[in-house]
Amino acid sequence: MPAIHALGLVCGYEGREVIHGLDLNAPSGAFIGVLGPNGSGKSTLLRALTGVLPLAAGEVTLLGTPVRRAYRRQIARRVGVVPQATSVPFEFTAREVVAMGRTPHIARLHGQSAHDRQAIAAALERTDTAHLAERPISELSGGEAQRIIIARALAQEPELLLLDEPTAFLDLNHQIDVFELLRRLNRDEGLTVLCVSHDLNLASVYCDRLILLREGLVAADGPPAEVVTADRIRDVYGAAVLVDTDTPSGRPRVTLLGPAGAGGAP
Amino acid sequence: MRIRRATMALALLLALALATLLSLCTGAAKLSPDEALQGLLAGPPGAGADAAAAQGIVWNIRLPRLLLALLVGAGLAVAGVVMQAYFQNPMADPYIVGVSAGGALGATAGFVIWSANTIFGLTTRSLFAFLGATGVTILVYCLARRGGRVHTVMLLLTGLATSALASALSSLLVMVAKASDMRLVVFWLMGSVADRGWTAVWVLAGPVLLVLLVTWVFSRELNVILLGEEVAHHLGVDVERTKLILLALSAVLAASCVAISGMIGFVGLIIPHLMRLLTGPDHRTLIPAAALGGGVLLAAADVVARTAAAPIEIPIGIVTSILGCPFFLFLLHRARLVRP
Repeated sequence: MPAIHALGLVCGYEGREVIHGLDLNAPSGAFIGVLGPNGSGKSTLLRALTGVLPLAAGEVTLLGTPVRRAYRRQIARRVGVVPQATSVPFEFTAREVVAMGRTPHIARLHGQSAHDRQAIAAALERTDTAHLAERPISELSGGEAQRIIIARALAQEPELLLLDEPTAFLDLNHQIDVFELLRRLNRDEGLTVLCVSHDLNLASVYCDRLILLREGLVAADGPPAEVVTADRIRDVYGAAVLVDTDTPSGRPRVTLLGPAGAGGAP
Repeated sequence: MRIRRATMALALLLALALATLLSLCTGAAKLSPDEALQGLLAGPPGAGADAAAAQGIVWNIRLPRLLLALLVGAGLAVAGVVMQAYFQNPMADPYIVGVSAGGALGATAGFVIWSANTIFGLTTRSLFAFLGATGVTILVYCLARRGGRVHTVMLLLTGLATSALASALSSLLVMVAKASDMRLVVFWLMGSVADRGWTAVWVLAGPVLLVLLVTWVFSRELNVILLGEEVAHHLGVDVERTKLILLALSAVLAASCVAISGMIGFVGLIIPHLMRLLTGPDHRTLIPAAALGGGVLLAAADVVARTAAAPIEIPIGIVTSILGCPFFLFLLHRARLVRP
């Protein structure tokens, strides 16, 4: 059973269609990066896949369950989502925020079970945030807060994790931390990961498959080496780049040269 | 600065006991705590009993007044908690979607048009205030609706605009009213829990207790909505439906309080803040704490209202605003609720 099955997606915002008939299939265990310039529909795609945005046409199935209002809770028990960074105006502690990941698993008027507490502790452990648990989330740094948000999604005990720019606004070391964590979860625990990113290099190094979007359609889909080429990046992003091979990972590495008209040699 | 749940519960219950005793003892005729308690324990007086005795004073005047203050305070505080979660904004209050302006318009129309009549033991102005408050809220909700969804900012701004219109209309009505009516209107708008009798207590007890219970049952959803609507969606909450239920409940609750007791400000803003500061933002604790805290605060404010300038009664809305405003400013500076 595919983890993500989307067929003929059409959606957008009031009076503006952003995704124009997009298909996407992801097998279980995949680690997929979604790339594309601003406005290409990366975040909109994620919001369409998770049912936040109503579809004008098409259908989405996550882990075999159709994404519809009636199945929302059922899906939330198996699919974790890390939306783009937002601030919380209320003083929850980090542990309280992570514990909210258990919401779809806990029946109304019931407290946390031993298993719930264990899932919360494990999520804090895996994101290396156990020492932050009792601090108010508003006092944490950007990198710490982002790890707490990922921990909340992990507390859902998902089989599929969808992330929207989880490394935006993070320092270099925290960007690496987040992707290392995702790779560990993907390889060691078989978690399927789909991650929207604006960072071609990070996504190339960590993801096993990249989907490049342009104007609401798939421009390229495949292993990083096939998707990230100088010609294609120039076409899609309108920027001249040099693409060579990153030494430790053997993955493509993009160096920005200038606007599309700039020369191909450094 | 979070306080443990048991400590908090104990402190609030103690404050409630103190406010109860104070409220039963003070007034035109002073009663000793002993007399007040004996009057209370004697049960409701029979038809021929001496109305001036402690038993009569407690049961006919002070107890219904105290219970009404507790109910209105609890209702406004809980409505404030829900509105702040709904708007994900600690500055929201129970009146934000037009409840106060609509209530005022309805009440004014009631005064000017059918001032003296009563229906079901309630004054027509109460019914008119309730209809005005709920009517304006429904209007605001419908006007804010776009493409089957109600965006929070849209609702907030529509509420502001519609409230301004309703206020202008009630000012127009006050202008054409008789001078004697005008005084009554103004006094009523400032809020009071005096002389409402047992009917008001019974009428208000239903909505307050029901909404309290239902919002408490929705605690977990309220918590998750504080993190943002998309997050709530991803955690399996039916956000649109939940928000509609919560908005309707808290609007009806606030409208009921306004209809019975007029405009009482700051309770619905300060108590949620204060309790959140003391117990944390988890609604499972926050809702009962706010209900108790709001009740105690209003009961205490009512004691001040009837003793500070005796024998003249100050409208309780003036008391809560005079005491509430500086306290609120103090909270703002202390707790850094608004980050630059």
